[in-house]
Amino acid sequence: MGADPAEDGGGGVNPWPYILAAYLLAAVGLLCYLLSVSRRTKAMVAQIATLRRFSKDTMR
Amino acid sequence: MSFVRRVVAIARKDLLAEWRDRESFSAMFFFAFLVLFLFNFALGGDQTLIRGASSGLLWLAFTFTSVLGLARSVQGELENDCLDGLLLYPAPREAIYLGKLLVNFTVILVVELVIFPLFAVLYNMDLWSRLPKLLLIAVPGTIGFAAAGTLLSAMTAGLKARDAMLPFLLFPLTIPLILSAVKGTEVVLRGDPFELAVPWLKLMVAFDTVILVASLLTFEYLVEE
Amino acid sequence: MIGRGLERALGILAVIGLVTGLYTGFLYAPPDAVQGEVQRIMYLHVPLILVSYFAFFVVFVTSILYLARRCERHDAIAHSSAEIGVLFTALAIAAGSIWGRPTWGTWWTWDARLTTTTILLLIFIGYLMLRALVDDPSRGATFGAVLGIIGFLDVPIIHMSVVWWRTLHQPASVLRPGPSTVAPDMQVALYTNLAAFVLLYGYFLVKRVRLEKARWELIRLRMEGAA
Repeated sequence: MGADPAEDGGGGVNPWPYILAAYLLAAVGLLCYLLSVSRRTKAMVAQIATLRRFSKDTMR
Repeated sequence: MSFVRRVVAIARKDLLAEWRDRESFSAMFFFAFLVLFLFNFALGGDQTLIRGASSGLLWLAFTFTSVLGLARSVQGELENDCLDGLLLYPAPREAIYLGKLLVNFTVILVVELVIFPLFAVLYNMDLWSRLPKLLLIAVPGTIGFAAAGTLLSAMTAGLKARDAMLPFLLFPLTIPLILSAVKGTEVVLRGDPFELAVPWLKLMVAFDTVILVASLLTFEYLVEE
Repeated sequence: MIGRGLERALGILAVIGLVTGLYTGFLYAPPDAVQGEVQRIMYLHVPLILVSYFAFFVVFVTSILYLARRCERHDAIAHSSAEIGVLFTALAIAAGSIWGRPTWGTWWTWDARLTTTTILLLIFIGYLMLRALVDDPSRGATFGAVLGIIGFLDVPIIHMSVVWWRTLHQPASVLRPGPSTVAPDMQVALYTNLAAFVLLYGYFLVKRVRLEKARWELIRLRMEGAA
């Protein structure tokens, strides 16, 4: 707040750690979400398969 | 019976029950008083600091207190299956919502009316001469808070974690309302010209309108079985 | 079933888009005249935030459709879109915060747009928590629909209130450079990344909706088993 971007921006600080941190964080976040969705889907599908098999067995 | 009379009948039933045991009122009142009392210690007893932050402190007390009453209003219906009886009442669902809203609004406003003078006494402020203007801010603020709270408590009532869930949904939604009420109250308490509070008043009216219309349109979906 | 074909196509396109986005963002676009290299975070931050607002708009529309038609599909899309929206908003705020540190000298500022976005994030985290707590799926869907509608309608009011509250603040040019202030090469990079994140949103949505459908299927099977 209050800092003038012109004097603060490109100057003294090395920007690359910040850029890398932002992109890495996003990459990790997106990948973790993707893995979580796949994992949850797999678990659901497995449960559905078990239930289906079970209900077939009891029908017989 | 007309729509308005049905609303009043539902509100009367709840207010009567409330009047008989005064359970949620006394809980809310005592809680609000405790919060006010604790501010003194939270802010290190610095009177000027407290007076400067008074509008924020007051509304913080009101919002925390209101949640207690809001949660109870629908919870009471779930016990002993009162809700099923209420749904059999030959009135449109909107009447049930408005009746509940009227009760919540009344109870919260009464608590506020008791807390204002207590605050004035505890922190040595002159609120009496400003009470009409304070009410002009408090009433639309309370309407919006009660309207959102009534709708949301219909969702959270049956849940195990309802005590945590209601504020979790209610507070973020009502931030514009709390902000406006705090700013408006600040104008009144500082003795600034009332025109400065008018934009905040307008914002509260806008919030109230949106939340009331949205609630009336969607409430029937929430209570149907 | 808009099955695996679409999902795979979207996934491949999203990966291609993201790689192209990285290329345009880091190599093709020049460093910003004022901010220097750190401005490259914009190609991550702006697409994320725009797509997350779009995701919440999708929640709003599908919630209305669900209340009107009572079709499970609409609810599945609403629930999925809300979850992805929360993820994207959280990442956008985190990236913005990291961007703010070297440019503004602070991780956090009570800027109007930032505050509004954070409140929106809180509302939809509440949405997800409520949905996780309600056991009955159709009740959960109804509650979610009502909350999704009200939460989205609340955004303009929240924004107005916060803007009035923070009128002293700097103009938005730092947070979101308008097209007029952005050089053409940077625009190319920005729009490439935006397209990539829209594709990624689409891919996540299709994948997440499939999970939601599996969940409904499982509940249905359980009920049959119980009956």
